[in-house]
Amino acid sequence: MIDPLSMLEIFRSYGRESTYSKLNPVTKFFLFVVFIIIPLISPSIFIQIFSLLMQIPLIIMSHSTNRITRSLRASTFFIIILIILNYLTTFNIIFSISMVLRLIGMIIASAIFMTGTDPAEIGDLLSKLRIPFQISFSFVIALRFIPVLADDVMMIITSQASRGYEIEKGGFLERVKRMIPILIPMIIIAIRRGHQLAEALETKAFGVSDKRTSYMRYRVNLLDLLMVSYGLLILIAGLLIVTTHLEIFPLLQL
Amino acid sequence: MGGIIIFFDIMKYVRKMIEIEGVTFTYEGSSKPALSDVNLRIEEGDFLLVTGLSGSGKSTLLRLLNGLIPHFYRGKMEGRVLVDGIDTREASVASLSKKVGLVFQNPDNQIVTLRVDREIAFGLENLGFPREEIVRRIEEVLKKLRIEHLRYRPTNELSGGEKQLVAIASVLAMRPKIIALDEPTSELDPFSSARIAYILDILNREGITVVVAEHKLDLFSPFANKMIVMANGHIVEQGSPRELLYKKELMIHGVRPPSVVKLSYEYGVSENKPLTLGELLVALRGR
Repeated sequence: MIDPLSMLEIFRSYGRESTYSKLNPVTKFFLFVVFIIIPLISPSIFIQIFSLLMQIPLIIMSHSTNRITRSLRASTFFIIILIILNYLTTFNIIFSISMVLRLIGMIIASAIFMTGTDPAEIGDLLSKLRIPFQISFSFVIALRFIPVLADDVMMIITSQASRGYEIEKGGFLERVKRMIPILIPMIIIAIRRGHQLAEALETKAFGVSDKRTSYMRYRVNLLDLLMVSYGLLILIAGLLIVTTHLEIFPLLQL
Repeated sequence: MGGIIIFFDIMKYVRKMIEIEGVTFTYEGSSKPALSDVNLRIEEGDFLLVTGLSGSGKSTLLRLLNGLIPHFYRGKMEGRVLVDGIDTREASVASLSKKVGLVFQNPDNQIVTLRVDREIAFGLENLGFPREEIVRRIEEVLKKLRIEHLRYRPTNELSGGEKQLVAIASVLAMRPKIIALDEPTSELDPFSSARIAYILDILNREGITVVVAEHKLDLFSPFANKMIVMANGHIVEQGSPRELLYKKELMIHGVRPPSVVKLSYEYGVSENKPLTLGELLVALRGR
């Protein structure tokens, strides 16, 4: 009934190019922030539905319709449980549904952003947000080394297995203990890699000049301007809904 | 007498790129020196092949060239290293990086970004070059190494040989006068290794001084004009590859001569000292 892999499909990493992925990273980040703020400004179900509907153009632009529906379908059971649990504690079914919708809305917003943005763009974005280069760079370097370290883990597992070591044996605690002969060589390899990386960075003059220049240049296109205005409109509309709809739909008032 | 004066006049124009004078270096926490009393002179345009067993001090020697020793590696250093007239103890690794580019053994540990062009731009960005200049140099370097097609490829998806070429490209973009490579082909297949050797020959012909620490003598010795053999932190043999590879004493230091050398002994043409298969064939025909 619960299939965690399909549930997480929504976050499958940066894939093919789409209209969304070609937007300026600042635009994408702005839209992401908008769709995180909107569900949070009010617990009303109306605003949650509004935020979900307004994300549809983004879903289409990022070619993630299939991914999101598949992921939501896989999470149906999980969503129902969340609603029930919420209901058991609040005894308000509309509120419960609204809370779950809020969660879904925010998950979709982050999924669109994460899957439609190249990790390197996120790094550039962080430096554009005046975050020190050392920090944004450590983000990029972490992503750079994920596949390398994954290969290392596979190599350690297979070499331990070829010496007759069984990792998947015994109960939960036993299995955790059995991870130690994998983890220790892993940590040593990672430290050694880190050292060589530091050497390489040193030879490429990392961190010498405060005036670091940037090779990447992101253009602001017409579509970026349109999308930013779309985000602004949604923010204004959201605030209007929060301040005015409560009188129009007294039933939904919470 | 006149001849000697002319000789010294000529010597003035042969520029010494690197002078290592009486260097002894012991890594922190180690009791045995990794290099002892090393003296070496590398001239502009040289292609120097450094060989010797693992642990003989090859990597330490290369780390001296761009100041990683003594700035990055702590330890006790005696003697001095002059790079283009500058004492490495008085210059930073960053300022030396514009003179000496260092390429390491494992390409995976020296590629730091997610895309080829960004990787080449990285060092230049750190040094604060304007964008237009960075773009110009990326194009120039990609063309020089014949890897234009890799420009926008993610670094994770490259093969080992391609990664090493990108690592070389990212160092070359900083336009060093010297490029030093520490066993650049140890993780590569034979085809990629040959490609690296070929590229280094091209770079050397264009005037870049090349220093390469390698075990694959078959591949690199035909291109090198100088060769040193290291053992236990000492330079034990020094000369041209042609002269050194035909020395019997080489085996004592654990260096196996290339197969061409063995064949030329077998066919009795060792006095011609061929280094490539082509030369061996010519020697055999002329017999």
